[in-house]
Amino acid sequence: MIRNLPAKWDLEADVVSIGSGGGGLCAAITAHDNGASAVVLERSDQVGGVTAYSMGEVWIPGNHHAAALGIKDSAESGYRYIKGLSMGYGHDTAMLNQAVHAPVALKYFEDRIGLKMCAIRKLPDYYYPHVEDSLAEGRYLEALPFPAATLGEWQFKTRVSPHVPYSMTHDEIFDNGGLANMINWDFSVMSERLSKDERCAGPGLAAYFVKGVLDRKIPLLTGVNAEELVVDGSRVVGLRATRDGKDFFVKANRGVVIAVSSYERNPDFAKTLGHQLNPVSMVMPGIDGAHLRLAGQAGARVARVPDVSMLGFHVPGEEQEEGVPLWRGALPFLGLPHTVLVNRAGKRFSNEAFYRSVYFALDIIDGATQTHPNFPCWAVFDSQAREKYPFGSLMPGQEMPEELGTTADSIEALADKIGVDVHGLAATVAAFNGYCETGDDPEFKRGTFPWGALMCGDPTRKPNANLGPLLKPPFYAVQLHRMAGGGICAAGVVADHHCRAIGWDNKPIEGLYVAGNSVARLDNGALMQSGITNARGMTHGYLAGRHAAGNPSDLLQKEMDRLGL
Amino acid sequence: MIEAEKSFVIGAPIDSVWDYVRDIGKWASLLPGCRECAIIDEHNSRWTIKVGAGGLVKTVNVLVCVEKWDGPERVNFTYKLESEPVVGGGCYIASKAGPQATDVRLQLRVEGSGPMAPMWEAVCKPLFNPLAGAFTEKLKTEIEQYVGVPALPDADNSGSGSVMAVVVRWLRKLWLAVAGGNQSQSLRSQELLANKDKVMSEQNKQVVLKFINAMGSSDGATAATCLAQDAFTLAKGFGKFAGIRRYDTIVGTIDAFKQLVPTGLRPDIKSVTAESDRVVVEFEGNATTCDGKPYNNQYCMVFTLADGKIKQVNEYFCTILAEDVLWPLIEKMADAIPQS
Ligand SMILES: Cc1cc2nc3c(=O)[nH]c(=O)nc-3n(C[C@H](O)[C@H](O)[C@H](O)COP(=O)(O)OP(=O)(O)OC[C@H]3O[C@@H](n4cnc5c(N)ncnc54)[C@H](O)[C@@H]3O)c2cc1C
Repeated sequence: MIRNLPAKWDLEADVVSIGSGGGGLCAAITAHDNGASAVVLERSDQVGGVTAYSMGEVWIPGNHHAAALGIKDSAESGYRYIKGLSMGYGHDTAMLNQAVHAPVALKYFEDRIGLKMCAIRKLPDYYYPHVEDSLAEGRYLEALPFPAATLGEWQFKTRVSPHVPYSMTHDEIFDNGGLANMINWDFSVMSERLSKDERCAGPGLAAYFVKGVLDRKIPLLTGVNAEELVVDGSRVVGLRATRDGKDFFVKANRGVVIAVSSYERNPDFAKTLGHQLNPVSMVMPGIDGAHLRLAGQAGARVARVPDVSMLGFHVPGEEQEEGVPLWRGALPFLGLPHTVLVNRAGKRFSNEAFYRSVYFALDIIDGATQTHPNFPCWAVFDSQAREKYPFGSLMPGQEMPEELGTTADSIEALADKIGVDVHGLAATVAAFNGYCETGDDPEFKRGTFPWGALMCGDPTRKPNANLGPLLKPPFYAVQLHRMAGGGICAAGVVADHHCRAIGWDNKPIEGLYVAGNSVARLDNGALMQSGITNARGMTHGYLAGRHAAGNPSDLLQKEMDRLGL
Repeated sequence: MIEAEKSFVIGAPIDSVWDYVRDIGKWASLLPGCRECAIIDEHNSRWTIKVGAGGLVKTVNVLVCVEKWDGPERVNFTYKLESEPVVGGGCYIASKAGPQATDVRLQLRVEGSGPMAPMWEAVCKPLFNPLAGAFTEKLKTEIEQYVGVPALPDADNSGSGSVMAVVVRWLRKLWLAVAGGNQSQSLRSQELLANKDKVMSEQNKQVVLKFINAMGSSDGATAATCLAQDAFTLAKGFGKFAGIRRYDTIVGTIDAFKQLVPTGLRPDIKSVTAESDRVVVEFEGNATTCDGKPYNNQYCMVFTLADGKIKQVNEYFCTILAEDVLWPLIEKMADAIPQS
């Protein structure tokens, strides 16, 4: 039993959101529109969170945009897709809850805050066409370009992303050859959008929600770091934050919503909860597990799903903010033609053109030797790749900086320089080049996932968007670092279908909600389908906001009755 | 290719300006985010600059080559980014605008090269103009400080709690952060300049119109509220009216004008154009002098403002008409006008 009430409160609202990403902003907006007062607290000096760093894909089965295009889909089909791929590591009710509420939350924000979304054409589900209930297009949505000047003084306090080309829509990118073929993009569009500050992708998506909060005059406070919950017996009644080095007590009459993303910038949490050893990270330094410290105080339960590591690299001279090196994700570039990913033995170990194949292979432990056979690892490519494709921010044709990669005139010399088995690498490249001739990769099936062909390959390349031989010297190798999930993580706080935090006794904790990546991923289990995290943030915010404002959704019960569960 | 041209008047003689400008290290120190300038030889230097764009801070090394030190009138230079396929160049052109004034024109260009040239230009474009603007603004202030033209009043001491003063203080803080190298701020140098432009232009316009109306009705007190302490007017041309007048003279002249032109100037404003720190007004007078002659001169005045106050006015009007009509009267009343 905790009782740590302050002598006086500095601020009071019915619903207090911690974190200004999708989850926190959506909870505040929904609470407000259901009659409660709200406030959003953000620790950094910019709002938008990782949501604003993201590619802005929002994956929602059964959404009305797909329906308008005549694409046949339903929330129920989406539920089956997720459930099948979750491998039993999720909770059925959590999966169904997300499935039924995501389309509703989407419509709600479109109607309420002027959010404008559209279906991304041609972007298939990860597992299309390999599993039932997968679709070739229609579930991925993105925001229409947002005119950031309408944010007024918040224009430059709303984050943009160093990771994604946020001046282009997916359709514009795909129409001009996809991510691989930047060389063909229409940069007059980029130029115009940058000049007018019209934001697409994650920066655009986040900006819509920031605008929704500002339009409602919901106080949005930056530089406020949530430190501990204030609990009155068994009920969470507020929190203690710090602001300008001083305590700042915020009273929450109806609920605190923790939406602070994950713990990936906390190496100890990353190791002990995510089993990731010293991962680098794409996200802001403030994503350090505050939800676990906060909710832990009130006895919230933590759960973990099978999780994976990504790969990243650092381009010299790039910083995220002063003194914080910028790490870029490598996965979009590994499945490009003329490129392979190899381990110390010089062997490929995954379908480089499908993120999820790389992820799991990376973290495998060989019990016989107690080693990670596939880590460290290297991206190896030839000068054809360098001439045609970007590698992170290294543009086609741009010279390889010495600090980033190793250059050699032959594959053997390259292997020797980087300390990879010379014969192993030579044999791997020879075999791979052979697959490129037939267009078929019998070992790892590169090019068999349409999603990977589009997002990790050169869609203009026939017959296989992900295959192209390594022939032309010089050859390059870039050693990759283990990278955390970009805010998506293994462990989080367990929540019920109203996003109330749950204790170890499986009972909801009064006055405590969680949203976004702070919530344990029991709604997708062993699966991570890109676009689902942004959809979760919106949906959780919607559910928590409604419940805290006294108007909880009853849709899950209705759906369970309908399905006879 | 993206080009920018900035011109401005420095309240200092051309040789003093040259004294400052001939040192490339000084140029580098004026560029927002410039961390280091290594002089290689008389013509070449390597600048290390941190630029903020698209949510990241990037350190770029720029090789600057001054092709021609042709002082005091001209400097031609080219530059090249070390790791990115971006090149550019420009020139500095100075000319004498008066014994205490130098007209400076800075022409700059940037160009992407290679297969991704359009992307580099798209990325550079929104950065380029504000960066050039910030650079020229600093160049002017620094030189004026260097040669001892009275410094800008500190916004924090400007006393007024007006919205403008608050905006200006905020901008200054950001500016100091940029120049001083706080990265999360340098990140936004372009943005703050863009924003500053919008906020400022409208307010500046109002200040200038108030000033012209006060001048037209010989209301020195009101005119004075529009002027910075170190304000000066620079009447362009070559006749008796050409030259610089400072605060006291400006205010004194406006007050004394009543006696020369009892009707006031009666300005008929033809156009007002405001852009960032500058307001340009075209107007015509419709006045009668104290000896009954019409005095209908035509004017174009270029106002430069800082902190919501007029700092400088470049005046263009027909000096022949002014000399013909006003000079004889002034000679008569010379004692009434404070000396400049
Ligand atoms: C490059 C990249 C691309 C991505 N692309 C996609 C995509 O296309 N689709 C998709 O669905 N997902 C994508 N993701 C993941 C996704 O964007 C995020 O996981 C999701 O947006 C997280 O939202 P959130 O609501 O959990 O919190 P966030 O948006 O992460 O917001 C959390 C906020 O809480 C603040 N905070 C933390 N601690 C405290 C504290 N103690 N006190 C106060 N504030 C605190 C943080 O500063 C932050 O602003 C991407 C991620 C990255 C990095």
